[in-house]
Amino acid sequence: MQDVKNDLLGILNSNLIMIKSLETIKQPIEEELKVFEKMFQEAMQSPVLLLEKINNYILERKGKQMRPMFILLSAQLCGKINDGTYHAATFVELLHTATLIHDDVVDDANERRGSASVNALWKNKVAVTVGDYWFTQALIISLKHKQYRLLEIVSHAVKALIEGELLQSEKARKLDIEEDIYFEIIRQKTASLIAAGCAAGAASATEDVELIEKIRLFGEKIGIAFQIKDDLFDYGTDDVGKPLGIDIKEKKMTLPLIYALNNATRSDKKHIINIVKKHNENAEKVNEVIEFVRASGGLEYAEKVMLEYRADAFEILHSFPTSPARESLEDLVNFSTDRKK
Amino acid sequence: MIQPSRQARSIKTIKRPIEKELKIFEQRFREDMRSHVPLLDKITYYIVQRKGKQVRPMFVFLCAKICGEIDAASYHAASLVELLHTATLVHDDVVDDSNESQGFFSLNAIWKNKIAVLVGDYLLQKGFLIALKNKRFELLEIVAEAVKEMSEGELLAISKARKFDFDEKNYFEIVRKKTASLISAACMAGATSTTEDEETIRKMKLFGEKIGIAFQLRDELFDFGSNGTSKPLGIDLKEKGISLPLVYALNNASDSAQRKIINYINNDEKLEEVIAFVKASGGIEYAQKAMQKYRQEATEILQSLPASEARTSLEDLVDYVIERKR
Repeated sequence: MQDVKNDLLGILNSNLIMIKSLETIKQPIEEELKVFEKMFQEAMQSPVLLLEKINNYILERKGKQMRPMFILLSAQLCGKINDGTYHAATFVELLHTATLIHDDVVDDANERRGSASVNALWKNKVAVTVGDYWFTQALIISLKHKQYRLLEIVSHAVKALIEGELLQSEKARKLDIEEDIYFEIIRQKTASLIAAGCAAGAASATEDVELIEKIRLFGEKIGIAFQIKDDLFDYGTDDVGKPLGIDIKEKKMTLPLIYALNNATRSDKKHIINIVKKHNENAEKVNEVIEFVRASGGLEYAEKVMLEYRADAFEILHSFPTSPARESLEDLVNFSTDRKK
Repeated sequence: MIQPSRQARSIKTIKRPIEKELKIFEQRFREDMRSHVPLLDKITYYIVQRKGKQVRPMFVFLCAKICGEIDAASYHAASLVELLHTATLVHDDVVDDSNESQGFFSLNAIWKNKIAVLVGDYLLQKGFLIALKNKRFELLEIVAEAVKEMSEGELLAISKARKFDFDEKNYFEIVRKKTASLISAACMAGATSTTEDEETIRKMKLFGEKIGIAFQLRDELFDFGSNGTSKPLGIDLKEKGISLPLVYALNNASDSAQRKIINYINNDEKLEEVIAFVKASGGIEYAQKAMQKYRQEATEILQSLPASEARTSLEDLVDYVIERKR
């Protein structure tokens, strides 16, 4: 009983610390986030009732908005937040949302952030169309405001996003287990957009090309760390989270699994791959995979790699003079790797 | 009718003033579609092979030529329009209910959807990158706006079909956005590539819209088997949305007839009854009249421009759209 109580307290405390820290990180850019929020909501207004309804549904369930924070803080680190910064944040968030909606169709996923996905509620055709709408809306807003520099910076990320998704689909079919392919996929799928966002944020506040590149790299490092953290959640990293096994179900090769497979005996490897390939809907068998990964140290390995990327990100930040923006970015980095969900 | 004895000319004749340009374009487009991802290369190759009459690039080049000298920007306009058109076609292949049935077919549907979404997205970003690389911001905005309108039109059509809404104003709103906006963008982008005169660009945009709507009405009339030779193709409301002949017929029917027909709409066995109902209430003539009105308006816009070889071809293209046998 006492143990249960302690566990509960632990959960409460860790959640409190987390909420407080995210609020603290937001503080120096509180006003700016509100401006962004307003612009973003305006971007999503539509005369089509069905679209308005879906947009509201998505808005009510939006995530932690880490991307806009990274973008605003990157601008502040290099100079002053301005209209260009807000456009960058709006573009990246619209694009990110469009990608998620399409991802859910591609993965045939019924859930997103604990709620029903757009395709689960309105079916595939509507979901694909809504994604296209968001993508073109992002484009049109930037074009109308002549944010050509922004478009140039994010265009590579757009390309990488799609190619990453294609690569992942192909690899999921073949169940490739090479680490460098894994890193290639997450660099394209997750890190490229955060990197482009940070670079675009910086570019809105400074002309210094070297500085912009530095921040882009920072975004890439933290983007990769962020994704590895997400991978770990699938296994229920600590006592708080229950293992999810969603990635296994979708045949996504994540770092913990790749490590475990590459360090397994031949027969174990064959057995686990067979489960992922053919029995990924079977909860019991998925649990077997999770246990196997845990036992082979896959989680520790992924954690270690994540912390290496975090260290790289910090190193870049530390080359800047101290400032409230730098401090917030450091906090944001810590939040990305220590978050409980 | 209003356009009496012009003989519909063949596509080959219509193409003549832009023959060389279309050839160059075709080759460039193939190159644009090439990819280093093997799976993608296979699929896009299949799409390119399957491509039909290249109606949209024709509109782009003819509208460009009517306004000035075809140049590099015109080619970019054509590529952009064709890439985004293909992207939306591929996305149209996405089907609902892939996870309702079990077994092999459901797996197959899921896989097909996956491919359709990914390839469509790939083509969208490809168009986007080509425009950016060549700094064709204006063209990109025109075409992106069209894709946005198409998405809106699609969503509007889905929600109206679900509610069995057959308001004529809504019908035209859907057609304008869903079908006409891309042809309209093709004409506008073509014009933008060769002239800066805003009045002319506006005219070409409107011309595209008119002919786009007429095009859709022609297709709907085919569905009711009105070209004499072919059998009616059916009016699957879920797939095709509401058509003007049906809209007119329903709006002029008694409440009880309305209810009866609405119940029949997605039922294949009642197809002939629905078609008979539409025919009896004059829906076909009404849609034909509307189509001729849009054709007339399109022609009038063309005639406000100086005569040229390109203008003649566009006039012929208008005739072709209306008089084609499918």
